[in-house]
Amino acid sequence: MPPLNVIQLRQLLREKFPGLRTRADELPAKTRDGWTAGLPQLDARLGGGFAKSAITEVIAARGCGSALLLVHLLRHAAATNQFMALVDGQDSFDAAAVEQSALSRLLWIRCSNADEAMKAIDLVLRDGNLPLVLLDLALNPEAQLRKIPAPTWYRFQRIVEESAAVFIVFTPRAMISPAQARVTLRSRFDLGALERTQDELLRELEFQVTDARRIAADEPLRKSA
Amino acid sequence: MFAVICIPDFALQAVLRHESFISTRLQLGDPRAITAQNRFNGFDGEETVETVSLPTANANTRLKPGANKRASLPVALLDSVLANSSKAVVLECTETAKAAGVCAGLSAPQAMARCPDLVLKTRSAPAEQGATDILLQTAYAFSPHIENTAPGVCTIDLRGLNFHYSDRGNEARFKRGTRSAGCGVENQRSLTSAAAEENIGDELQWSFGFCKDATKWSPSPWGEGKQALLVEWAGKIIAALRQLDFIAQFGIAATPNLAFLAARTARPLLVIEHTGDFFASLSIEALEPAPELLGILKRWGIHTAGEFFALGKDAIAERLGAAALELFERASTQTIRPLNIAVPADTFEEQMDFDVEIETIEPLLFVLRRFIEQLTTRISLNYRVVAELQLGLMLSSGASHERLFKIPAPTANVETLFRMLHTHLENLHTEAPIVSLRLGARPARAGHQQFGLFESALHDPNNFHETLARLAALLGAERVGTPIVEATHRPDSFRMEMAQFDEARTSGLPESLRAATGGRDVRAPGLCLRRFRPPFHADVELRDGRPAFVSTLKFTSPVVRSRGPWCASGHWWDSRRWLRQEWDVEMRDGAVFRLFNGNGDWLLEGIYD
Repeated sequence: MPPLNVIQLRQLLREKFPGLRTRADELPAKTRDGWTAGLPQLDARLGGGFAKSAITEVIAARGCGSALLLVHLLRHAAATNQFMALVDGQDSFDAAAVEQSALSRLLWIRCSNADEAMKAIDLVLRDGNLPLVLLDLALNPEAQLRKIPAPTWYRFQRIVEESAAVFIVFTPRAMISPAQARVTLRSRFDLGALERTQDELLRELEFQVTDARRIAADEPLRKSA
Repeated sequence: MFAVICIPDFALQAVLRHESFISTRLQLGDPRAITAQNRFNGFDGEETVETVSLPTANANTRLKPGANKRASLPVALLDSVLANSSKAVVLECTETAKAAGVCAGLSAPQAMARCPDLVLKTRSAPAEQGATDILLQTAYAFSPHIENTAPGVCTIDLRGLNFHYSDRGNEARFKRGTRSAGCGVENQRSLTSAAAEENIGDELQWSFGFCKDATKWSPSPWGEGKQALLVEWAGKIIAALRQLDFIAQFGIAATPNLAFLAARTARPLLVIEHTGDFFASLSIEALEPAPELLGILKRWGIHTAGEFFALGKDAIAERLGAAALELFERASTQTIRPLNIAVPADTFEEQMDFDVEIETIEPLLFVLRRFIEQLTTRISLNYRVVAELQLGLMLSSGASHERLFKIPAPTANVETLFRMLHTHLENLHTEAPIVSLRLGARPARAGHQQFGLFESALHDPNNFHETLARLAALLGAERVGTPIVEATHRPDSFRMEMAQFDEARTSGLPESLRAATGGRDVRAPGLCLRRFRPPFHADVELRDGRPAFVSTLKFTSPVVRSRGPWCASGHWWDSRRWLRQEWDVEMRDGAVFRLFNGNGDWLLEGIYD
């Protein structure tokens, strides 16, 4: 009799292959190199920075400072002589916000929708030349994001695993199951933030970090919900 | 010491080489089945090797083991001038055709009568020119002193090439010494370089084995060491030419003329150390005497060159006249004629005219791969790599498509070069079918990159540019690249340039970015904007001259707070005049937008985030 659901399938696999790990929380903790973001409050929570060879999801609602964080990451990567790619899911990046010297290290891929962005990021990740790859889906409509098949992220995870790239995805809601870490922006900025410097605003950014084990544990709950 | 490379049935081999780009492989159905075409028949003693297609007398094409087919093609080459008439005569033909009774001088109908399966080909001047270039370029890779003696014949002056053993065991090397005039600087090349080993290393064993047998009539007064080096050196040239689909014969002797005679009788290599032994076995016909003179000599009972030379120079001049004396001088071991030194063309190009118009990409890619293989082999022989590819497509409408591919990191890797062309052709739509294909390659010295400890660099620039090409094909070239912000106050003014991540362009970051803060520009103000491209229309209700209510297709909200207005304008002196009034507005849900009024129309430009 074929397994009816994923629980039965896991049980069947355990019986056939003793010792097989069928859940992410059963995986041994891996020590990965990190890429420091240059923000102490974030690096500390991430255990040294964004994980290399893994996906990190940054969840940000409107006005939480995700564009500020993105621009900061671009500047920081340029300051450390890194090349980077930004796959812009809604063509919303403001190039004038970053100095030209930093832009000269940026490959900006301007997509008009999430479907194009997913195709583009596939090519960029497979290329494997760039140590920092950013995918910005924060402004994409929910209808577009719903059309992204969940296995796509697992495929990207497999690709990234083979490289040393830092892959950061900006999303409006939690949607990447195989993410190594999930960073949720908790800060909220109003009109008054426009009168303050970016350095002050970056210090005020609040992060909540969820690691892979927690993400895996939460996943069935989220799906059932 | 001189060496002569002779390509027998040169015109026929040149034509068949072009034919092999399409016909042989298409028949086989597997473009990678043949790794080295036109192997000599039986040299390696592999009796079980299956063969197809016999382009020339001594040649056949070896398939990968397991291909159980055996076939041969009788092919004859006709003069191109009379090719379409019944008076066309056979110039050259393959051994299979000869076995069927075809010989040079027969008319096409006569040849067809003797061999109904005979395939007739027409002589091709471009193919022969290309073959000549290949021959000279190959020879030039081994010596700077070469002569384009005749079609399919190249003479190499071995003087100045110092053969010696390297320190690493019996590895053979040769050195182009300072005595090599015209070389400019002392230039040392190793035949056992990585490229040579990779390409033709497996041929050496075969070459040695054959030459020991071939030189049995000249038993080594030079000593085994030098003879072995010569044999190995010649074997590399023969193997290199074989990679380029040419069957060559190689002769080494004390004079150019003698080396030429040796090359013509070599199978495939002959080193003449004792001229007496050689002439004693050399047929008098090999000296190519005039028919009248040959008849006289035959009647005298002179059948070999040795018997002819035994008559003596004075006696020959007295009894047979100037023509016989010229024949005697031609084979003299005392006279060394000066070589007319040739410098091969620095252009590497392959071209093919299709009999059938090409409408799909597959046949084109098929031929292109072969072209790239041939070009990289030719360029690698000169210890260089491909820096540029020039693709030319001639269409049936008379138009043409030209495209120059600059290789970011010059390489001789076939797959890398092929992928570039493949990506381009995948997205190419021509207005008419393709009738001709041309691919040129510009060689360059291989670059070397030193990766720094603290500087990042692209590990595979070619792959990166390949990715850029794919992204440009997916999204459009104007949406992939590095943004360059224009020097203007007009908002969102930038242009996209192709990403070129080399250190020369990206080094020199300002000190502000290298600050201890991790590169943050602390002077930058406020939140960053996420732009709506294009900005979308908003209905704005004003109260006391300030935005009080915003209504768009996506949301409707009262304005809680606002900042502004900021007025900006530019290009008021020309047609690109712009004028705008900006406002930053905070909605009830806390979202902060940028609004602007341009020419009386309110537009939502972006959201602060």
